[in-house]
Amino acid sequence: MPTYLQPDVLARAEALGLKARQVVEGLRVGDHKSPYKGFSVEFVQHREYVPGDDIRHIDWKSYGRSERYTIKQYEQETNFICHLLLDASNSMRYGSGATNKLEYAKLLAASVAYMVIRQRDTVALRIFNTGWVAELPPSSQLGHIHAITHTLEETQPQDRTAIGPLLDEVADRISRRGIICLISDGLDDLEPLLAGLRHLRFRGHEVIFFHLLHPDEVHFPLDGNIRFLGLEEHAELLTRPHLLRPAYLRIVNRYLADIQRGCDGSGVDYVRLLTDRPLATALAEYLVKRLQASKR
Amino acid sequence: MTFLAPLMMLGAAAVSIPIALHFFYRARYRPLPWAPMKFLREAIEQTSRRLKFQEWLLLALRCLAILLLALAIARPAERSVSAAGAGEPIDAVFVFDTSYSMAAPDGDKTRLERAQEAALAILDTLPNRSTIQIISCADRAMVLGPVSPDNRDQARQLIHNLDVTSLATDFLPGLTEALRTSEHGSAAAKEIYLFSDLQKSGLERQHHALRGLVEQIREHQKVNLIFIRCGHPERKVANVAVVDIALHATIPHTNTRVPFDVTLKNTGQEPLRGVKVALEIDGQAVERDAAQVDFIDAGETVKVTLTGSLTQAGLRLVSARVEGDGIAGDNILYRVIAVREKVRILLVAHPYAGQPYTDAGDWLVRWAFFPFDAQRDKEKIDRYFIEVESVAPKDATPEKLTKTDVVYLLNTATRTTDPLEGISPAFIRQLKEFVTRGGGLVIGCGDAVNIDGYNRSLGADGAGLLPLPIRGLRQTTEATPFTPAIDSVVVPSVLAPAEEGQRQAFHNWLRRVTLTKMVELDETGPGSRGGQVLLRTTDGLPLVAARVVGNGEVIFFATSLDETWGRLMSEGALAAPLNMYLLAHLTSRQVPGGTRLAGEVLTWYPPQPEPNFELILPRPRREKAGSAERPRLQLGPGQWDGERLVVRSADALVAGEYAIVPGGAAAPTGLMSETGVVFAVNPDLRETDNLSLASDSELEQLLGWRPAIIPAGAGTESAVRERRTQGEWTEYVLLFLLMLLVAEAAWAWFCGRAW
Repeated sequence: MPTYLQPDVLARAEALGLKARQVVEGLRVGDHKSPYKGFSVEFVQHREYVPGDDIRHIDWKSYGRSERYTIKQYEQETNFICHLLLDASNSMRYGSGATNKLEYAKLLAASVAYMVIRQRDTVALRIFNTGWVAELPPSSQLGHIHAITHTLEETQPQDRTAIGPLLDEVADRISRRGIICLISDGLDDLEPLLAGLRHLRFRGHEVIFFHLLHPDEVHFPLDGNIRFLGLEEHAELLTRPHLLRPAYLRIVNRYLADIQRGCDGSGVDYVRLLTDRPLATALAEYLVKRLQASKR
Repeated sequence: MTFLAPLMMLGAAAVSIPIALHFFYRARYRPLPWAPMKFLREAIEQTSRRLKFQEWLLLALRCLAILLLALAIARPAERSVSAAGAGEPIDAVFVFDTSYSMAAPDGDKTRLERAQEAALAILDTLPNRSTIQIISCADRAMVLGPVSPDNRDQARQLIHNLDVTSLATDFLPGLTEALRTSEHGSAAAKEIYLFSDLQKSGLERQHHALRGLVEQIREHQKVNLIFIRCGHPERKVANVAVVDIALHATIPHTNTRVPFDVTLKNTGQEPLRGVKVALEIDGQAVERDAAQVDFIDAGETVKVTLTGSLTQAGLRLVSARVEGDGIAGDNILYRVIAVREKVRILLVAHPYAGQPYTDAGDWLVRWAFFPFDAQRDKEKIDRYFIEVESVAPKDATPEKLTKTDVVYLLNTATRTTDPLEGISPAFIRQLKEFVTRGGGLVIGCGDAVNIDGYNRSLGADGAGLLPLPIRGLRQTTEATPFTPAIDSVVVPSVLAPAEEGQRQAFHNWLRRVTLTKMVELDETGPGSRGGQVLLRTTDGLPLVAARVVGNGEVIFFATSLDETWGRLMSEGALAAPLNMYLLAHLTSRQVPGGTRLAGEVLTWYPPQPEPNFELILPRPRREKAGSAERPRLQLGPGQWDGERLVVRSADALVAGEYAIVPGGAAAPTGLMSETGVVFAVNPDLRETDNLSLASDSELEQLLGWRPAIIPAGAGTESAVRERRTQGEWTEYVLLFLLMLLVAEAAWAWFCGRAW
């Protein structure tokens, strides 16, 4: 089994599944709502007959009651394409072992991809930093998971993050509405990021922003004399972090609140994941929430 | 500020530790790759100024803490505090005021006794291995010892033996000597104690120099100057001083009762009643002449006239003594007088030359001395104590001067080419010797006086007897005569009798003098130095001038003492007192030894060399008269002063009778000494002229600095001990350090950190 496919994560994710919360546009019949109304099994509504309509779809029972020609419409169910956008900039390098942000992101991406493919939906993978590093076309073949995991294994963090323009590009390039999973630490300019997310939403995509952060970046528990070396910039700061903690936390919390607010405002599913938390738990928790929300 | 353990200040170098740590830790930064640099930068921007302030403040607090710790262990102290507080040895110098005001009572003891007690108490407070030097100080200082500075028994003995002198207070020499002595010591701590009643006059006498010296002592490292006040400044002392004994302008001679004016002054701050004053001659009280002054107010001067009977010729010691006051040192005043059987006067006068004999100068002078009728009272004149001999200038031989007391040169020419005219050079040479030995010379002018010859023979280039060089003649008319300007009379002088009535009468007669001719004296030219004008005319011309030559004196009249140039001696009411005053004045100088002031150098020119001379001191006050031999001091063989052997002694510090005699010679009985010379030494009356004691504030004002002043008494010892540690600031520094550390901890906590 590839490295990024961990049984416990996959088991729980597979059980819960990733259901499209809104309409998606697929190529074949699936479990998810399609924007196209058709003549399938799921009745949706009646409408007035207009010339050109197939008279086979006239609801004669209704004509008998109302002497008006009405057409009976059914909802088309289709599969969706899940676009995994994985941030592989240098900022994702932070953390060691399991808490390394990129490793955590890879694990998350692989798990989601596996889960989606297993439910016969389609997954595409795009890895980016300032541009596209790797792209795997959409596929629902089970073997596609191997290509995804292989790509993930090959991916090394480099360069800076520039999410906003890439999201815009994605929004322009993907014509079919699907699910966009952005996996990133979001350490970029906030406004372009939110603008990109809004763009995706405008295009009708369901967007899930997996915001990966290392606990150090959120809680800032550092002490002693530290020379901070910028992962994405050639900067060096000498300081004693414990002296800065209150100010740092204030700034980070404001940033997180801004992201949360921005995502909520544009209907983006915002999922903050701290890398010290087991992915299985965190992902299961999110999926449960998602299920509950879709039932409501 | 000074430090009791200054080496400990090296610990201040430890201040470099927190600084080094500060920079050391700055250099040891752990590298950490970090993603959200933007947040970090923003946090730093928001907090860096505050953080830097906190950090530097913390560093400053820690550095200050180390500095304070070093300061504390170095034991900082006031400059006035010595290392004695640490029990280190002290080089102590005790300066004792031995002026006679220290004999004043202060309660049941004298001030000196209080000083001695205090000194002994302080001596016991000195740490082990301390040294001690004792200096007595009045207007001069004397290092008394001990020979072994660390021998406290010797020091105690010296303190015990201290006695007052008859000198006045002056702290400058004592403190100067104390500073010099303390510099010889090797101990880390040095203390100078001045035991004194702190009489104001002693501080004011050389005020500026004393202030400078005290400043120097203060600035001198580790020297601690402490004043031990012996005598309460508010405690009043009753004192009356005998300030003068004066003869009634007479020549003391045998078989007469001589009136003496004894002047008393109440120098205390309280009036005195029933003050007894008695006259003594040669130490024997004159029974009939004791008087009691009923009341003398504070500051008042009273004159009492007492008479004494003079039976024996020679030097007599007259003393006036008072009783019933607080300070005994000025209760007796001595005066040595020379009592004569005869006073011999040699009149050298220009011979009568066609003038009436009564106009001749020698005739007028001769009869001015005799209160008798020249024809009728010849016997009385022969028995009279004044003998007058007249000689013509050409007959004036040096031998005539051997038994003469006073010489008059009256209109006398000096010898020129005519061997039969004028006084001879040999006579003039002998005349100089005569005056130098103490003889008196009166010179009157006249037509016979050759001005050039006088300047040459008697002036500065000759015998040096002329008070001022003669410049020429001045003449006027009888209508506009030269007259004496009475207000130009020098007081005191032979022309200003001490007694007011006599002086008024004399000056009234002097005002009537009219002169038509005078010699003009040069007051500014060569040879005028040393001459003094005693009387001028109303025109400002010198009329009477004087010059002291050796032990004698010359009185020069710029006019004639006969009637040729005016009417000076022709008026008997003026001539008689004038000549008697001259005679009294000139003969009173002929007192070998004589009256001196305590502290003056006693000088004697012995007739022949001796291997050793001795100074015979007065009998110590604590011993009864006749109970023991008077103490003697060895003076050595004397020194040659040119051709003369001279013996000097500066050891007459206590009032009383002194004598310089060849070694081993018997002590003189009374003032008569066949082999040596006798001196009567009086107290320095400046001491009691102002008995005010300086208060603490006045002392501070005079010295320009507030010194340590400790009253002598029961608490002296503890006060000195406290003084040694009182000014130490270690406790305060430690307290401050503690507070600083608390503040540092609080600040570190506040900053949320601790190194």
